[in-house]
Amino acid sequence: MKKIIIYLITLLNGMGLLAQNSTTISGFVYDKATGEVLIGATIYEHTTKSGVITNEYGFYSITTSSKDSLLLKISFSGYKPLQVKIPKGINKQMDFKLIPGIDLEEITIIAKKEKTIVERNEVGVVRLPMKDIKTLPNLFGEVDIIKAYQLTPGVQSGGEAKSNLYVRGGSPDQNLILLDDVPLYYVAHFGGFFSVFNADAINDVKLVKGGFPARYGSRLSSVLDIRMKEGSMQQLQVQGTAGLLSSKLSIEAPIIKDKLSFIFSGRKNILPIFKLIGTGLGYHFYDLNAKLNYRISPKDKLFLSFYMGDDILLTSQKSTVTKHKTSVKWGNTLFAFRWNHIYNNRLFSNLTFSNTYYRYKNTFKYDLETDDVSKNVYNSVLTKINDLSLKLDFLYTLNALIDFKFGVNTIRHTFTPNDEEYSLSFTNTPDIHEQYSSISYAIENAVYLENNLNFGKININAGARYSSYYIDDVNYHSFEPRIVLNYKLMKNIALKYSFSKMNQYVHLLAYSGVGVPSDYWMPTNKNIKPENSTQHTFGIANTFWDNRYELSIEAYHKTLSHLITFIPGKSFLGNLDSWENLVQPNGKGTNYGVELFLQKKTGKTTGWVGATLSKAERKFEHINQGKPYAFKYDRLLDISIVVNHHLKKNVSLSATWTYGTGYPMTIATEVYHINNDDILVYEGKNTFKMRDYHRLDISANFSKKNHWGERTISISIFNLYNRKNPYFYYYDRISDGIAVSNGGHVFSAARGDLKLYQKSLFSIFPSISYSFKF
Amino acid sequence: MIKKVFILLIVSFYLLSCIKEISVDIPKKKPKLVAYSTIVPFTTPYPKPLSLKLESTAHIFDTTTYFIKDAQVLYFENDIIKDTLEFVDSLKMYKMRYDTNDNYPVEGNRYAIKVIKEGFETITASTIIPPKVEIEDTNVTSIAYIDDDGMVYSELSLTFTDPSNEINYYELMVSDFTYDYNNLIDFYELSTYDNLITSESYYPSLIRFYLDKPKYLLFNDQSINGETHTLNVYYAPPQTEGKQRRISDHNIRIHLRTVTEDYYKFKTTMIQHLYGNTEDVLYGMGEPLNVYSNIENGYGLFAGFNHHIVTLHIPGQIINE
Repeated sequence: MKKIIIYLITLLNGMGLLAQNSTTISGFVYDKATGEVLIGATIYEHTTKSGVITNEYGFYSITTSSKDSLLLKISFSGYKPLQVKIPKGINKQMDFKLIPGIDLEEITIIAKKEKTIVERNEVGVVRLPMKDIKTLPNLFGEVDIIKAYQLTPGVQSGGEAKSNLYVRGGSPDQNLILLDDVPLYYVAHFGGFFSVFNADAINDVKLVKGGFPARYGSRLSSVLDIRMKEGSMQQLQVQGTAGLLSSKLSIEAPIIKDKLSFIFSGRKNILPIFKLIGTGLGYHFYDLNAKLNYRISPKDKLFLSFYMGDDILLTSQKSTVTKHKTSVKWGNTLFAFRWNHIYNNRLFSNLTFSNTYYRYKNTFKYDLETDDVSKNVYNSVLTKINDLSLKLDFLYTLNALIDFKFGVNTIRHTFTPNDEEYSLSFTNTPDIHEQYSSISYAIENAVYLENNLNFGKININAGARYSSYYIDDVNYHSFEPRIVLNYKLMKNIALKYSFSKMNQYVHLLAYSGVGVPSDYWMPTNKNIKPENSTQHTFGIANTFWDNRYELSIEAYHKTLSHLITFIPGKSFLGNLDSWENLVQPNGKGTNYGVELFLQKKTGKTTGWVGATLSKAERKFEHINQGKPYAFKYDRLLDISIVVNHHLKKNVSLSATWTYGTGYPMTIATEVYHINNDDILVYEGKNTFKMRDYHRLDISANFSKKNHWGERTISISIFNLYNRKNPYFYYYDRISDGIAVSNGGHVFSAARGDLKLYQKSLFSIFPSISYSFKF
Repeated sequence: MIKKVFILLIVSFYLLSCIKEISVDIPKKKPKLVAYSTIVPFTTPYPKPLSLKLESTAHIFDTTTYFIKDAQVLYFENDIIKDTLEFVDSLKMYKMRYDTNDNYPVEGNRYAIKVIKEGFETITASTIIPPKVEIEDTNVTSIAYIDDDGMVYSELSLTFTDPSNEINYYELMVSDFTYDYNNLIDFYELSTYDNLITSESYYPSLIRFYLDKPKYLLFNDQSINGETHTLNVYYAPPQTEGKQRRISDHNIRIHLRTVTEDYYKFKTTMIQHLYGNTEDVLYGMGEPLNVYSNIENGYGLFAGFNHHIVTLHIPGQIINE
């Protein structure tokens, strides 16, 4: 032990000396036209052949021990590269501005210089450029970030056209979805058919599904890190889209040039689709994104981010004496204040103060008014979660080989799992008014340290996260070690491994059926323990044909514990009691699989092929007789093929084809009768499979530059060959009435055959949208 | 015109959900015996003799009901064989060979059945009859309210005292005068706003207003343990249409049963199971739920209950328009 300590001290001393003889340059990389930071830009030093990429704030810090002057090349896909010569020994902040807009051949050349999958010290990380996401075929003319990521291996949608993420057998609550560093709890509009993210306001998106760095925590299965645009620092920019389902408008402009800018983006549905098709349903949604970006000094930046979105579904019926109204509302509000500060060329920090609020309310109102009778019924179910958070993150670059990330985070959770209210006033009877309040408060704290070591052939990201959680008189602690290893076996082949232990203090209860969302967020408490997971991932990465292609094959094994689910048959409706009586705690999960991801990132034709072979199981003591059963979204084989082709400078074509073996389902195998009722016998949970799923979508985008700006017409056809994919199955017995001649009355009905039916959702579906920007 | 065509096009493409009958290969399983019998002590004026229905499970797409007529059905009292039940063809059920008052079950005793049939696993089950709880008071308001369709509902109030120091399960039913135990007919659908029942997970919430109300209200004494409680329920009495609308002169029988936990679980899961078979796209479809059974190696129920029945005469009444 003593020897190890002496060795470590010597090593650090050596590193310190190394740092003294080195040159450190740091700063931000910007888009010259808009002043927007470029996330993931490469800064490559030719002499020492070392490089870094900008972080999620567009910040970089590069330290080299070169004895000569430095030759830096700054590059980013879609921008003209910049080459800068810097005399040795200069330690200073340097911001770079790249000029956008180059042709495809140049992009290919730049791509060769960028950090490839072989060099990146990452496992299970997927990045899709926003420009590619925007060209993909879509439903209702809506560009959807989440749907694009569903086409990558290891990610399931959970049903036809849904905007959920089931990552490596995890459930949607196990995804940490960050919008500018702040978690969002519910991310879908329109009954889950598309996500709340307005692509016009988004700068960058990254999905982490394995090999989690220690800075990420509080969820088990994935991190979707979304960064909003900051707003142009140079000129007014307006863009908008008119689609079938919704229309949107974004405005960004400098308030003080190169100093203060804003972006505002709004989206709303225009056509009352459900009313038009005569369902009597009223449905509305909207979302607003806004951000203020203030560069106080070269070393300090302030950001204010705001998001708000709601969905409202209404049904109402009215007669001369009665009124009946049901409404379901759900949505998020998010506010974040952030401060970026550069202490020196080696130390960068980000302070985030934020509030995120999710609510879901289901109300039922019935009024009857006649001359004799008056009756009023009101019932509501409300669930909310409100998090107030303070987070401080640091990045410290010690030298060319080592950098550290560390930070602290504290969150005050206010949970309202199931507030219920019920009232009844009825002529000649006493009024009834009952309420159940479920509010509780909890504090979650976390501290982490993450260390990046670059030893040429071997790169290591090692770290740990420690968290604690206090609610009522109970507290929980969790220590979560993480490691990511990248071993460069050959110039274009790397072996990868990661281990992550994750912990989650919030639990989601959701009805598993179709229909409007019903997400209830529950706290960890005395009886419900925090969920946790461990995940191992092994991978091999390969680039070939001058880095035009990237191939990765990853195998993972993930275990989950302390999961919760509804006790079969239980529901919140009418429940004036603790939610704990409705749940089955201490569930376990085992997920494993192999993923293949082949990407072509450059050239006129880009795209990818993703394939996943996987299995996901769950086990609860009192469900399925305590035996393990297939997770509802377990899919043995899943394949996605995505092709983008730039036909001309202003015309692009895209196609996606997805295939998946059927999701598991529970169907009855036998029947018996009690008092003429059919009693179905379900032999085991999720033992049958739905039909296989496959679908081809295509799209074409036509852009034209005019004197006022640019317009794009996007035409998509969803489900081109009109496949009837399964959405859900149900049994039904069609009975035939037998009219008996006596008075023509129906005396009895013949019991028809019991049959199994499949419900499909979307047939072939064309859509068109018109976008403009100037 | 163009606008109309545009909207029509959009509408026709939107949410083109379609239903398709599909075939799934569901393998045939070895059938199991299904027994259904509820037993009750001798009560006047309508004693319910012991009987047992026996059938076998069928493949899910098989529409036949397979009554089992030739099984050996052994009936035990306190672990001593009391009778071998015989099949009565006209009733399609097994009955005791010696149907005397002495053969009726007794409160507190343990009763069991054993059914042996070649080609099936032997099934067994047992039960103990719980103590009786009396209806202490009743009151009926003939015209409590009139619903949207003009249907008149009567309100029935009944008061009972729950015995303390034990977990009790109840079932409430209201039948008309023609009720008899061999023909389960004419139970009224019941609705209530009493939290004692609305908090039960089987009871359809207000939002699921399109579901039929249950004919059996099951509840437990968790929130009223040892207390006297008055329960208000609503039912639609017989009523006539015509020039003068009126509630008919009629009798009702109120059945307050104390039931076993097995009985309670069977009936409550059965109601949920039957509701669950109804498609409910808007509010989500619950997980499939198997009906609880206390029959070892088979399905169904063998359970005891005790009851107090009160008969009331409800005079006819003109409904004011």
